[in-house]
Amino acid sequence: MGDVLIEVKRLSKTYQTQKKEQLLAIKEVTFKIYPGEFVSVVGPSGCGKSTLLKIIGGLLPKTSGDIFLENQPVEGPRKDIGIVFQEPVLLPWRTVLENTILPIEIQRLDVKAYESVAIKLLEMVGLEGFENKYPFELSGGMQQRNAITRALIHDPKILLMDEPFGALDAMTREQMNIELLKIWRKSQKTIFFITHSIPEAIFLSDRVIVFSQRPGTIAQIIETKLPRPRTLEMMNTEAFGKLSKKIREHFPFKSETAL
Amino acid sequence: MRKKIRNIIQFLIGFIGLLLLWQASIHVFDVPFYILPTPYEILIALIDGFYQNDFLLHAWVTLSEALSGFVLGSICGIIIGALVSQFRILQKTLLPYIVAFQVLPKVALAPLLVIWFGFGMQTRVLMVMMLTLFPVLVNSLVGFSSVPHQQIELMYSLTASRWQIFRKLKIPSALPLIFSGLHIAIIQSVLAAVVAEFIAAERGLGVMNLKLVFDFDIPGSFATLVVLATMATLLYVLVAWIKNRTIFWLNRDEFNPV
Repeated sequence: MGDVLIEVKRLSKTYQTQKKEQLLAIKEVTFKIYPGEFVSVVGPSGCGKSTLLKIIGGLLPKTSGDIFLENQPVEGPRKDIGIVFQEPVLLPWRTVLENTILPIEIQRLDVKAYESVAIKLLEMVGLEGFENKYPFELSGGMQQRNAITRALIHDPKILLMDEPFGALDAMTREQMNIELLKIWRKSQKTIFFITHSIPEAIFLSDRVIVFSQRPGTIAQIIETKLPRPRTLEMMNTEAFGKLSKKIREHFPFKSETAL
Repeated sequence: MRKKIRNIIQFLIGFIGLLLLWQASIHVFDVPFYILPTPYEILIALIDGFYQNDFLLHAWVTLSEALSGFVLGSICGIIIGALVSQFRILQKTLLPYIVAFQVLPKVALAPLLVIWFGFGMQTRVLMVMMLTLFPVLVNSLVGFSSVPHQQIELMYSLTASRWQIFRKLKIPSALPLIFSGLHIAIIQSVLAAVVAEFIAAERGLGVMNLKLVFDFDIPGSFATLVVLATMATLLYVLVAWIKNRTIFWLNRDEFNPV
């Protein structure tokens, strides 16, 4: 593999609770992400995977360890990172186009010049014709697509996605997964994706980082080695099932309690 | 549209019915006009008022006091609310006074204002300002401080400056609550103008009302009330109209009293 895009070294995060107790959320996490990769983190809720994303995105301070983006330490929010949150977080008084263009306004770039970029992005995610609609006129899936265009408009080096489809119904979610892979291929971005869905992680990723229960540590990093382009039918293949089983073995709790 | 027309017709039928009931019960129970005049007497007094008592001029005086006080008070309220919400030092130093002043019955300050500022219009405008400032201030304060956490995080992730977060996020977010404050304030503004006129004024509907009561012209006094109520309603509707156009993203299928 070529240059490293993101390097996370022995990263730990401790929270202080209301009762002044120290709570270890992430413990000594180390991994690398290479340019153009699609990497997922999968783990049970509360395992610190969202915390990890927020630290990489510069939204939370780390307790110890290092994060480098192209060999530069990440110490706060950066202009070369795009984030898609769990909720679309669109500003309701802005049109779809205005929401897409928000990062350009914030970075004080030429809004007019980026309008054509925004329109191309909206076309890419299937929102052409909706440029002048407001978020409340869109479905949940469309709102999240709008959020993806906002995360891509300033051409970031990496796209961080924090369970972006968690709030969607199962059908829409599968559809969004396929759309996301298309977007990934067309934009040639590096994507770091957080999810609690094992099939989603396998379906999307080149590599899946399996997170253990709190404190979050890496249990295993699995290369999926499934061919691309991916199709939903692949979810029924033996290879997919094996990967799924391998990941699930790290969460024994679930199979024990199942009826 | 059709539903709207039906609503209006229903309202008019009810309103006319109420007036008839009023008129009839005064005849039946033989209530003297100086206790409660009939709607008809009030109507005559209203027409008389416009022709002989310069109601239009008095209404204009009251309206200009109420509106200028409302505008000034609201602007001050929004600015102070914004400043206090953004600077912790102001919260610590000013908030106790704001709360203390809010519970004070400000109408009781009217005589003092006369001593400080005289009998001119400025005293009455100040009175209106005092009564409109606080509802707007308190609502703005809450509005500017209760922006959803995720939206702040989004702006922060986009490397927005504090000023950008304020301008692009907090101002629009605060608008619904600012308008709630303005709704209260616009009603208070008419009240404050009338109270101020009771104490120090030569013209205005408050003065007119007082004079007519002293003259024992009870229908006339009721007529001033009709003008005041109409004025307050129109002002309220005006604010609601502006609100619906400003925060268009909220007035989809919500309950709307206007």
